Amino acid sequence: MQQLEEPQVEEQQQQQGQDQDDDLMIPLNVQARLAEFTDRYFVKSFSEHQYVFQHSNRLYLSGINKNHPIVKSDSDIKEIEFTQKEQHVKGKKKKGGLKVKSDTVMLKVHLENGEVYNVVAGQDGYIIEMNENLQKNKQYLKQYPETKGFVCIIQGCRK
Amino acid sequence: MQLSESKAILFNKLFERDVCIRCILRLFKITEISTYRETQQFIQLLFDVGKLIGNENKLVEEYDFLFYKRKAEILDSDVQPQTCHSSLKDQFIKNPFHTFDKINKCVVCHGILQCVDDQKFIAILVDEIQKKQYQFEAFKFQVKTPIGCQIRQIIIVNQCISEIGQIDPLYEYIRTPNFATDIKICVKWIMCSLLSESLKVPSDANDDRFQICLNFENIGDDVKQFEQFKKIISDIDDQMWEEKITKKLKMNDPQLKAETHNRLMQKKNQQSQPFLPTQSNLEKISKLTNAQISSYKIVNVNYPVKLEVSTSYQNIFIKGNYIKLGRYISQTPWIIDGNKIYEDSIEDLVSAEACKIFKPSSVKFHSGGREDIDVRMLGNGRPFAIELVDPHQGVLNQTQEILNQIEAKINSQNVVKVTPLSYTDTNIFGELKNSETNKVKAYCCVVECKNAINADLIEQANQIKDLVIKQKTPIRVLHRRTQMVRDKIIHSLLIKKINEKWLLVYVLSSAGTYIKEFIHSDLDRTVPNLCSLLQNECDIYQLDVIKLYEKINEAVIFDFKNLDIECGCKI
Repeated sequence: MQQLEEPQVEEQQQQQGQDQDDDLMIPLNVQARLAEFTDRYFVKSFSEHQYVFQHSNRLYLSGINKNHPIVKSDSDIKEIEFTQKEQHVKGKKKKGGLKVKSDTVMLKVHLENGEVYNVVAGQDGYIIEMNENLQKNKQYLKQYPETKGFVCIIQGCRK
Repeated sequence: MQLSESKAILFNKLFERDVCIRCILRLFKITEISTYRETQQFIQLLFDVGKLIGNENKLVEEYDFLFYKRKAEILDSDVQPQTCHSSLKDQFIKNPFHTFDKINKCVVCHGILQCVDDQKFIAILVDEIQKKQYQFEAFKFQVKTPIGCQIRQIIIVNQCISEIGQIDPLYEYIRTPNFATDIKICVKWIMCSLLSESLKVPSDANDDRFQICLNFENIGDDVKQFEQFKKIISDIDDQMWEEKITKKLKMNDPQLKAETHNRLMQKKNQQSQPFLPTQSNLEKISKLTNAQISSYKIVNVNYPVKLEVSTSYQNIFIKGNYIKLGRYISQTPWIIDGNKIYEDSIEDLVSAEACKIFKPSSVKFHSGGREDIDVRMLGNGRPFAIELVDPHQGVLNQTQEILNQIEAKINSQNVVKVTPLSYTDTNIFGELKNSETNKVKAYCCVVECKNAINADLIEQANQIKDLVIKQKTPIRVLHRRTQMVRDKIIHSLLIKKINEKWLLVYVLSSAGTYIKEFIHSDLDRTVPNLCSLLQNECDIYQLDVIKLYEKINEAVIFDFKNLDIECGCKI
């Protein structure tokens, strides 16, 4: 019971032929570049300036995409204003979340050069979580809009 | 049984009212078991009673020796399966007691005490039990009887005593509630020895392993019997309720008082239900005075008594540790819409052999925590227990050889292996829960970094001790877990470079840590994480659980740092 099996590195190389599967947590195909975390689990859909990624467990991740003027602008972010009141969800069923429509304004972003942009929710449903990191690390919104700088996590409407 | 004149008069009255001899003995609280069993002595008893009332042969002439009571015409009941309420139809189905439906029934026990020592009945019963194919060495006997019998008892005793019209201390005793010996006890006295003769095993009330339960039911008659009392009990209840709410009505304004009273009254009436045959209602009825009870009658025997025989054997627990050598094996069978998503499951592999040997009705799998489907479980293994519910072949098979056999069979498949198994009991649940929350675990994972690796940062990371990390519920489980922040501790790290962008990372952490999220930071919802420690973008390739430790101390950290050598990984 004390011995470990064959080293993992060798085992991987034997499984190169296996295809990548959306349901797999970790792809076993070593040769292909490991996809970004967001590519592995999420189905991505983009609108003009924003995106909505749907996880395989049907939760939505929403934010601005790299074509958004905030990202493209030279000016840094001065302030991010959360326009909606903070509401905490409780329990496994995530009760108490703020109900939003896809055009509800979630953030007002003020740039150094004075421009102001509204960021909308992007998906109908209930907010589970706003990205709290944006309060301390404003630059995430600009530097990593499609990963660490996401805006919120939304639970779709129950059928 | 010692007879006195007053006893004999009451005996005669009850006998005339169609109560069977065994029930009369019960009402007089006879506890000598042989009196119930030696049915040939009943004739002498009837003779003695007759002498005391002045007519020696009266009772003997009227005696029906087949059924231990007065001879009576067997009337057709006015309830037939076609005409009764649909919920009560199942009382007419064929069950072990079915053949005793059309007999000279006692008004109190409805034939239960009259037929339990009938040879045919015992034979049918033994047949039913043996059909279920259990292995047992002794049995414990349980009986349940219809609750209506107690009501009929109360009514008939009161009626007979009031008809006699004499005041006697004996009668006052007999009238007190719960004075009589219970029907259940009588059934056990009579049946235990007969059953144990036929089944050829002793009956032992202290042996919990194998239980036979006889459940006599007569819901149709019980409901009718209790219905009669609805009005009087609800009147008494109303009175008590009025007294209870006087506290809430302590106000001076009469209009407000009336309004509150109405509101409370509405609330009470909303909850009104039919007067069901339950233990609490029975107790309310026993509190009625003798004068009140005397106005009620016994409902005629309409429905047949239904008997349900059930048997059960004590659950067997087997514990051990399992290791999982392959990936894509779920813990328990994962079925969506009737399709098995993954073919194998640990539960199936581990309990298949035990099920074949012990033949339980069902099996439950318990483990101290679980791991993801794509994660291997290695090292000293994860503790688990299987609970064999109601095993049919439990007795002779509870030996160590059988366990060794099961272990060999499981290990031969080379997918999941188990440590030496042992028998245990319900204490195992505490141990498993403890293991899930308290054990310290060592993991090994293969990590890829986006940018070139900084060796100094690796050195720094290897020095950390007891780093507290805050993990928000990972997105991949957020749909079924509560949204919250969990504090976990990374006790130690051991990072080795494989090449420019690949690392082998050993992690020693507290129980319940999400390792994958620690490595790839889950969009920065786990801080601090490996990406921040190494100033790089990391992602995890594969994960193995290597070892479980009881709790953290210096020896454990030392052992952990040497896991690399122990595991024999060649980089």
